[in-house]
Amino acid sequence: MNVQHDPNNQWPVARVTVAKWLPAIDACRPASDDLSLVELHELAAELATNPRLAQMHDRIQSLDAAIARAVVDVPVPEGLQARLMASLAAAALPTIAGSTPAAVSSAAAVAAEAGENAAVLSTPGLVTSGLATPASIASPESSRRALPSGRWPTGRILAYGALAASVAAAAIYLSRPEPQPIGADEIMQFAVDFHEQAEDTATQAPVPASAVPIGSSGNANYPLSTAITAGGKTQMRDISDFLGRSGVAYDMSRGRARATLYVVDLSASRSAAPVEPALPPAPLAMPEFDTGGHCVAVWQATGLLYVLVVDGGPREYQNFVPPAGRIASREASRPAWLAGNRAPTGRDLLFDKVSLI
Amino acid sequence: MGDESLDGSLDDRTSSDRSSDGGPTDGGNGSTDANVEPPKGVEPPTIERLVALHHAVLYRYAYRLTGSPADAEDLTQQTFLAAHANLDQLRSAEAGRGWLFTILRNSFLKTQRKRTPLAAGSIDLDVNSLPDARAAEPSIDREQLQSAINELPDEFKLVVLMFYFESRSYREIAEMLDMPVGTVMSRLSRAKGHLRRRLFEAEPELNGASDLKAPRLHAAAVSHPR
Repeated sequence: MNVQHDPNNQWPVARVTVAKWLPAIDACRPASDDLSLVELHELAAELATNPRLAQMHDRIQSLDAAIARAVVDVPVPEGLQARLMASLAAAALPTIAGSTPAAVSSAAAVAAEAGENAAVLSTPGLVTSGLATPASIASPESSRRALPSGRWPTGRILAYGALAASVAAAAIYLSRPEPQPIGADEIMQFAVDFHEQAEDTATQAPVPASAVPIGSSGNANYPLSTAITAGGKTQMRDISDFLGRSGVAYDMSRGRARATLYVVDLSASRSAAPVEPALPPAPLAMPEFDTGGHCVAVWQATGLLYVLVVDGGPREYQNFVPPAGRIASREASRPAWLAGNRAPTGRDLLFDKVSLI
Repeated sequence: MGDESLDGSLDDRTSSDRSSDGGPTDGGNGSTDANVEPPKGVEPPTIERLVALHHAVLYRYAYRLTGSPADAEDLTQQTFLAAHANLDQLRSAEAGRGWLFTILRNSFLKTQRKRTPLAAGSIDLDVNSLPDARAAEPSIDREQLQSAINELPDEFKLVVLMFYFESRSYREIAEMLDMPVGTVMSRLSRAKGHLRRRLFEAEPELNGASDLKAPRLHAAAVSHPR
């Protein structure tokens, strides 16, 4: 697109304009005709009438071209092609099925010749149980000597095999690493993704919601936070799989400002990773996480996790977070024992607001 | 440097022929019709031909995804192994790049488990701090670029590399990753914003000396190195 613009125009592009159009500008591939796509027609029209925005578009296109050239500029190791072909050749060699040891497989072949219970002898579990070692079943003579005359003890073999499998499974389960607690940054990023996907889904299939009267705290199990100013119009809907937890979302609007407050239970369940305990007890004075289209605050109180996603920037954020409810910084909200990296005393646990769940 | 010349994705691609290099009949998203006969005069694809034609670009893509030469080589190897097992899906080796890219991305996602949060902070774009488009093209340090890419969560990394490396449109990215268009645009913008901050705004000679800079947002700039 050929856009004329006045290079002497010194007025900066308004932040609201940048926030509104940046995702669309970023979607345009360099040296492409993407502006002719239907979804970008509005941007094309805006660029034609907004010289500073057009200048920003041109700058980003130029930088994108430079980045695209740099992205493919990667040295290829010497001999890579030969090594790849060698690995493909090795993979193509005839091998015994799966990863069974050669001894077990030959035992399976022996059993097949014997004509009975070939499937039992070929299971790795049988080998690991130690009751039928590869050596003992390697030869037809030894296998015949090991068996009761006339009958294979299939019941006992299966039972021991099942026991061995259970022991192995338990060992694997007990040795698995404990899930790492998720922190505020990860929560906020998850929330933005969750929020955007919900917005996309809602345009196709509106989610059932109920109105929350002014002054009401909403759902008894997941009440509205008293640290924020709910919108003049608030809708409540159920949510699931928010950080592996169920809860409630409050969609709020104050004038033209819109926000959603997500409320879930802090306690970890089998399917939900624990949340780090050092979350503030109220939203911060300024949003910690700002994508340009949304800004986010996270806090915890009375065993609940609150995540506020505001459409817009700090100005819109302050519509919902009144001065009395704000904390200056996350560090200021940390209790002394946590900031001092010491174990909490009984007094700490009585008077500090941080949940230890 | 290997003996292959750079075959960057920008050189020969237009917006209208994206699906042509996918090889498979579906336009490049990896699912194909089985038992598709190659056109007359076109050699049936062999794995040797695929490797010869595409190993370099596949390795480069794998390196950008993994950030490590060893991991990149492993990922490239896994990709060709998977391709070898499904070679009947491909019409011709020359048209296999998009198909291999799809296998590569899927293989990469399978090996990734940990979710890395994007560094908290504003992506508010200070327009006047960006290098002037009319000025000389900025040089980009290769290591700094990879370092910036490494900081991205995997889902952002995929989107931004499909944009820059494969030159996919946001609509194609949404279809191929089975993601809403709005989510793709948001993630793409945030990821590109992160790259711009890391590559350009830290260099004072590239920042415009304007008295009319847009106000910067207060942000808790906490970074989470991998």
